[in-house]
Amino acid sequence: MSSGQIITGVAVIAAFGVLFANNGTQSERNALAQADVAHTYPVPAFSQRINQEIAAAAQPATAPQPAPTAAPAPTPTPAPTPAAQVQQHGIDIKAVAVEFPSSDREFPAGPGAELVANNCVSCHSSGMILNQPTLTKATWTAEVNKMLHTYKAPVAEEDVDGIVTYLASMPVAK
Amino acid sequence: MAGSIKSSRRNFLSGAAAVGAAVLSRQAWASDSVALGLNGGPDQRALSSAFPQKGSMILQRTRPPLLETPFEVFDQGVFTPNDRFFVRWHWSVIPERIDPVTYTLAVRGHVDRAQSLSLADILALPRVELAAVNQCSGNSRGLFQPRVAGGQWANGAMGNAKWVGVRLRDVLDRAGVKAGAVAVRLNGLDEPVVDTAPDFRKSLAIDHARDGEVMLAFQMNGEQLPLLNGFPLRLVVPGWYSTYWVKMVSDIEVLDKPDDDYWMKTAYLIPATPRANVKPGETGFPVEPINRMVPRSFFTNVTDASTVKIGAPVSLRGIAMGGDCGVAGVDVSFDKGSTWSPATLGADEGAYGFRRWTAETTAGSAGLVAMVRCTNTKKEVQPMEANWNGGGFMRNVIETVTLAAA
Repeated sequence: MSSGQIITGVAVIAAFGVLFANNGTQSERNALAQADVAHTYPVPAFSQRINQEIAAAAQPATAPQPAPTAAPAPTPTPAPTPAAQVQQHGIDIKAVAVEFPSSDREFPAGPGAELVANNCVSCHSSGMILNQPTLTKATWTAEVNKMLHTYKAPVAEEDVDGIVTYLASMPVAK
Repeated sequence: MAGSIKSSRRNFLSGAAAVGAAVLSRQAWASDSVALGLNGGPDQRALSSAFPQKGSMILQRTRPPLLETPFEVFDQGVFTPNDRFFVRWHWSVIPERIDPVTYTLAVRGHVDRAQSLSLADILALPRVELAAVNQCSGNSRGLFQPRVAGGQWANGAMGNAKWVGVRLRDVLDRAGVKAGAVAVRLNGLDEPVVDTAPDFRKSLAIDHARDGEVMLAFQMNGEQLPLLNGFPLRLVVPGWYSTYWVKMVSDIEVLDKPDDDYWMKTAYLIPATPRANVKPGETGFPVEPINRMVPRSFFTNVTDASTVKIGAPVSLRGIAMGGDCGVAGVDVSFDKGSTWSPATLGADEGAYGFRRWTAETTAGSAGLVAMVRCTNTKKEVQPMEANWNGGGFMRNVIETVTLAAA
């Protein structure tokens, strides 16, 4: 088992920049300012702030509203242009760019450990397995088969027995 | 094994984990770890601050992220800070960059006019706000006995936030729901690693989707959502478990027949029995998709590691939630549940949110065994006996703390 320091990584949040668009007709803005915040219950301070933001945003706008673009992107959106931001009626939504950390947590040595290390981390990191309690061989068999047949994990059928054997005998810290 | 492997953001298959020594040593855990009190282990988890827009979180799984809120956070107030709010993803292909200018939300299916809405379009709709608890279906799964497979959460896979957004009904009305619609299915930008695996999508019955409370939120506690909590748009389903709160919503599909997707038909099923309770090993019971939440209450200022002075006054406090309705009352017991007395309730921030409770007592010579119990406005009461099911869902047993005399 490696140390408690088991993940590394950095987070970068990029954002900022120019106004994107803020508009709508005057009547739409008036209607919004009057009827905007529908309270399901009273939250005075919070409502007040939102209302103030909306009122402050109800200023004449000059930029034209862009037409909705075509179909939604089927995959993660492309890198945001610098300064990407949507602002409308007092709410700013800024572009976000981050990086997820990775895991270097190791599997305890034992028969089948390499098999598990080579097959089981395509879809999830090792912690998913290492944090499980002691489970029966039947339970582990069902879990591994679910990974293969339902979640389509790229694992060869002939490796299932070895993987299950390791998982069912894996040491679990009490 | 069918389907190709996505490699859009990392070479997943190159990430084979190493194999290390078999020795499991408590000393291996540095001070930046926490013991969750999971009977039978493994009990220790690292605390990590390595995730973007997140502070110190209990690391349940790095990829895809499962991050639990350290329980002391719930003592700080009824609203859970965004940077401590729990995180749960099913699939590991999650965008790391999102541009709000080009982000679009499709509304399609059994509608009069399919839409592709920009965030500016969404922000122009009437706004609603709501405090609501977002709780994982499997919150507290690690406390089940006998133990079950799955994310081994303690009690911190939940959080309460003030959500601001637009009614799902208003978004649907932009497209015009046709007569005969029965369900609304939502999808987000996350994707499975293997493209033939079932993409994570969830659906609500059409009347539920249009009830005026279900919303698409773009703000959480006054800020845009952290990416890991579903930026830029997340479904909020007040009173229902988090599995329905689809993150990074990009596609809304109106269905004219029931959703028979894996994630509705096979996964997240509970026994259709009182409190989703069955005996371990029991079979043959009817099942249904998990749905509304049930009442819970917790101590936040004491744990089993706390001590009390004999004869000294003890101030207890915590949080309670009604589930899919408000908290009617919180009671405490110091005689193992024989008698109960009402706790004092804090401000009502909304039926679907957490409610603060406080209570006073005096420690006896043997210390103090304290229990807390929530009754919701539907007169549902937390049970003395824990429920059990194979999914590890819907735990809501009365919580007990044992404080030793010092």
